Amino acid sequence: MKNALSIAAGTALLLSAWLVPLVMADSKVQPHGKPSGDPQNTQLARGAEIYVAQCLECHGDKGQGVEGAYEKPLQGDRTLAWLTRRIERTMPEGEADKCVGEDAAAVAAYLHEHFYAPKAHDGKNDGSGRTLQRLTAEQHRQTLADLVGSFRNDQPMTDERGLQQQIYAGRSMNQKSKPLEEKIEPVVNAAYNAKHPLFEQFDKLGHSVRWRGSLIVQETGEYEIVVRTDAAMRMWLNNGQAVGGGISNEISDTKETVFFDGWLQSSEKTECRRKIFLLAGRAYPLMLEFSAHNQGVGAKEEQQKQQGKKESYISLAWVPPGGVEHVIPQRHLLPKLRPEVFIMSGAFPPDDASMGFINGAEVSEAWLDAITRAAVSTAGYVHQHLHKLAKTNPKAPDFQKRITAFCESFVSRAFRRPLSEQEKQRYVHALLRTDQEIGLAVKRIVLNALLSPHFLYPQAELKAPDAHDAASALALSMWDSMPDDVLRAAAVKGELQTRAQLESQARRMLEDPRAHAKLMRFFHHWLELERAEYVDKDKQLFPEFDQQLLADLRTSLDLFLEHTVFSEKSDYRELLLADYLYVNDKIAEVYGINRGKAKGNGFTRVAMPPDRRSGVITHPYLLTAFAYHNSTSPIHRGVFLTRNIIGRPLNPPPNAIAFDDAEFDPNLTMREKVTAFTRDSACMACHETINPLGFSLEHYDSLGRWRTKDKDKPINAASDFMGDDVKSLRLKGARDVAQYAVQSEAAHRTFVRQLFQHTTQRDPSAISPHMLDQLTGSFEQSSYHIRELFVQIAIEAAGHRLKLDQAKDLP
Amino acid sequence: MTNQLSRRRFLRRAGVSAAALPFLSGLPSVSGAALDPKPKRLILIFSANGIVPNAYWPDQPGPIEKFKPILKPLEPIRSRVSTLHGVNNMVRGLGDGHMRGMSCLFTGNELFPGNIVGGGGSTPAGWAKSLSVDQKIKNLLQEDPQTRTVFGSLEFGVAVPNRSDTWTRMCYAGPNQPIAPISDPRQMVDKLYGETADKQSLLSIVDTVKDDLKRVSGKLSPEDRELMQRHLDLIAQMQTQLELADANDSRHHPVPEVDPHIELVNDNTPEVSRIQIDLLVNSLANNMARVATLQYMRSVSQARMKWLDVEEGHHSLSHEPDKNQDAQHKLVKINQWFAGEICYLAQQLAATPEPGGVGGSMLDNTLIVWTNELGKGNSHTHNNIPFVLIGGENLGIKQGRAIQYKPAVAHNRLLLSLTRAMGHELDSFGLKKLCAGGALDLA
Repeated sequence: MKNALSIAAGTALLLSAWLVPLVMADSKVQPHGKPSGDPQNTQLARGAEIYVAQCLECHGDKGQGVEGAYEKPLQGDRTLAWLTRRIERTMPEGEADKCVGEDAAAVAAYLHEHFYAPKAHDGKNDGSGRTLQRLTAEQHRQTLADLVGSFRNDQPMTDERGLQQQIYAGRSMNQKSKPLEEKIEPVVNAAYNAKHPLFEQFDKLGHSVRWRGSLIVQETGEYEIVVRTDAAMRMWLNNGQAVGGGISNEISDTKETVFFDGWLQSSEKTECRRKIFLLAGRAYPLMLEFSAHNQGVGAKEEQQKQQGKKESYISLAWVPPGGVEHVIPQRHLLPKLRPEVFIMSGAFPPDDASMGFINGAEVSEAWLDAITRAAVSTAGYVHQHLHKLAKTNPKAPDFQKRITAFCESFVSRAFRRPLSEQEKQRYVHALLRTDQEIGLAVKRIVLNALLSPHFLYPQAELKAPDAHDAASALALSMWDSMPDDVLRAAAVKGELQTRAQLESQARRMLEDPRAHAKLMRFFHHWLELERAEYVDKDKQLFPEFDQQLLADLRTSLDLFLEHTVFSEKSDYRELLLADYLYVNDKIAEVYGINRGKAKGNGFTRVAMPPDRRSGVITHPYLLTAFAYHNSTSPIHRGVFLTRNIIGRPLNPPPNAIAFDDAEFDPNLTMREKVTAFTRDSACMACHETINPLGFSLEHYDSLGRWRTKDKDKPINAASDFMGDDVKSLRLKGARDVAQYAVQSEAAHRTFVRQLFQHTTQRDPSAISPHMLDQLTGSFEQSSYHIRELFVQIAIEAAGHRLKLDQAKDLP
Repeated sequence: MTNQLSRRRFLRRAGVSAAALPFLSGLPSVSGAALDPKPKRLILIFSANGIVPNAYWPDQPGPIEKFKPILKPLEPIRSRVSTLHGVNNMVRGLGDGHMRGMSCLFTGNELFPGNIVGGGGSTPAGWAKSLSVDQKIKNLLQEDPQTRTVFGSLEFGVAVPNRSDTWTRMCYAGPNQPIAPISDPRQMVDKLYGETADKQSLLSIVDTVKDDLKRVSGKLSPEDRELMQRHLDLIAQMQTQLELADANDSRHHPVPEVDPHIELVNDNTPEVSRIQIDLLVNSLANNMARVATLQYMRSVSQARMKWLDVEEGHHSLSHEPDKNQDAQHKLVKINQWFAGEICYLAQQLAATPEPGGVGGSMLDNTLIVWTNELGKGNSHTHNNIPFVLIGGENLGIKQGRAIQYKPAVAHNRLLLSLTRAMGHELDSFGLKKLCAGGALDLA
């Protein structure tokens, strides 16, 4: 078995590392001398001397880096004390004892003052001067869906979950026949046998059932829908024609409008499967019809004495992205039909993520190809649905006028602002006039709008910022999309001028499933869940492991995240300190958890001994993902904790050496092997942090199960660890790590920064040098309220160019 | 002619040229393989509910001197038409006569058990058990780069009702895999030429887009301008590709333009039929496929052909006894109308020079087969299924003959003759036991 982690291992094993730059070089910052005399200036002057003598060669005169030596700029936000200690221990490279004590303190103070700390950059963005970003792939898809969707009638989603179910006797499901029963059913997974309460009424005529509602998803990706039945079945998914009031006769003759056409049961085929690409944070209309009655001209009920099926079954299941097949759970079903969603399913090249977060700072041929296809397919869709979207038809006396108005609105919404008369002329009328066939003209208008920089670069700073820019930024931050009607109206009315106004919009938007999806996407990114998708384990050592277990663990983690993030407290500390797990029967069995009465009831929350579990860092899904197929991996676990939780940046190793279990004495524990492997002082620059954190999780095996022994030796999870204050502290296990993070400002800053980057596609320093401090401060004051932080970030991203009138906000 | 005039309302020939190369990397080319000097093509046509035998079959085997009334409309191309009498659909098993007549016609195989109950106390059935001959041939042709085309096969429909069952599907991609014919000409145009049209739309707006990028670029910081410049360069590169493609390609046969507002209602059937035939000829001439099917309505069709002054549904009429003179007269009229449409198709092909420039017309290289799910409507017989062959002389078919098989042969053997004509010898097709004797000799 190939362990996918071994490939990733290379980048994680750091043999040499230094301060990781968080932002790019700013060559405009000049070191400036200060008059001598006061002790601080004396120290800075001494530091400058040492810097020139010992550091400049590799780091450049302004810390900008030197090609062929250390290329990255010396910038970051670690404390001065930390910097001092790091220099003392590791610098200059290979001669670490050359610069110690007061010398190290002096040079640290010098570079901290002049180019390392964010405040040294004095409000410059990332230093490159580049602010322009195009839509990311997710933003592109979400925006197209909302752009088209904004022309459909929509109502807010309700909290009710499940599907509306109607059961009929016989095969007739038309509007004249009355259902035997009508109710909201949590899932579609039914056996119509003697145990069914309506069974006797099915008689010999068979029976039919219809489910109506919508399918809601929280993750963008490919879903495989699976319907199993031994009877006639058909299903519509995300199709306006099917839901327009209509049953089958509204379907046009293309089979494409029917998602599954199994009305004709043939050769005892009992399974229909089909894939569909769905966007997160949206609900898709769904209708499923089922009949355990024969069909066809000879199937009239009076002839049907012997042909009805009394017993039958049906289930509606799916394989979500990276998951395994299971019945679609109630939380993904709505009992109301929602409007059709335009889904741009074509592939986009991956967005740049070289800075640790997805952003739109690059254009490429593959990207242009993808957006051109997206524009073409959107234009085709608009053309096909033109009459419905423009709410008119060719026979209407004002047809032409309506189409023109539609096009003007379309372009205006695509550009996220009202159009001037000149722009209407340019982007709409000029293209309408040159063509005789109005449908083709509309296609061109749509194509033109969707390939325009005004659509593609929503944050381009082309003029003095106004309320429409703020609306656009809010929608991008909170939804990865464009403003909705309410936000647009607020911008038009000038109601996005104050902080309070932005805040009230942001709070409203937070309740939308798109915001929910965006936040969940952040947590998946933060916890690096993508690495879990291809995990497999040694079948000899872990016979309990299968893809079903992995999928259940993911559900367990998602339930925990949703519960925590969307609870009233929304407390970041809860993410790290929670002493409970969401558990179903399978997980309970594998992890030896007693569920008591909850047995068989899907997922329930089960309290664990506090020393055994501590929030996400001990969640079995993560522990499974951050482990080898046959053993734990303290290095992977430690690197994850260092970077993402504790908040210490690490550099990728210049020379990657993969950890190879087979090279060690098989009697050694994993801790012993890793200690030996990273013993070198160059390694220890980073591994002095990585190892204690990784070892703290040694009580959890490759599946994240609690263990007390490794190679028959008792587990030692305790280590000494250097805190941010440069004091040593004893970490005894996972809970100590969590406790440390919860109290560490560096950990908070890292969390804030990562959420900021995910939300706005830029670093907080791109907005202001104080942004991270400010948000970290308010995060701490809000008792670490995650959703509140998300809202604050969105407000900052939307408001920073507006010069918000704070005075108006005062009560 | 009324048809000709009214059709003009729906069909305009626009001299739109087409771009042959992908406008960006990765898009499949529309025009497919280079022109084949000796192409072989097959068109299978279906109409429903049987025929009126004594108004259809020539009296004698041998050269056809004179057509009976139903085939009269084919008179202008009589020397290129053959009739095959004595070919029976011998597939039995589940399903009623119409279901088997339809779904076993080109598959030569039985139906699966299923939940569809037909008339006459028959057993319920499902879809056909294996693929149809058009799809088999398509697969064989697509495997060979010499004969590969963009679509391989195209499935046209005319007034096929909006439902999917054993009575409405004759083409199968495999067991349980019915293929829905496309009955909406707009949908067909989109399938055939949508990409070309999109490229042209794109080309028409690319200058505006470039202009936009330049304007925006002027307002940006120098650093941001770099990104915009890169974007602009990429657009310019795309424009060059598009223009090159457009210039390189002027299609042999212009793309027909279809009225976007034509309603697919019963009374428009004659217009839709002609549009579909024009599209069919056009797509073959543009080398988009080598195999096509054209399905009129469905088995058990109840089309009301008011344009022929026939108010009754076709299927009801076909159940009338032979002695009902009025019904027989109307059934002859209905079948004559189909024959007229097929003659139009054949003449269009005969009037189109073979695109390879090797001389001759497309009809020389295109075999048309017109058939039906029943031999005769009121008896539901599967004996003497009416098979008419037209054109395709270069495929080794000797035309102008009334052929009679005595004793009758299984239609599976005719399906084998079709694969042979298309250049592929098969031992059997569909039910093996019905293939004894192999392909019928049509040369």
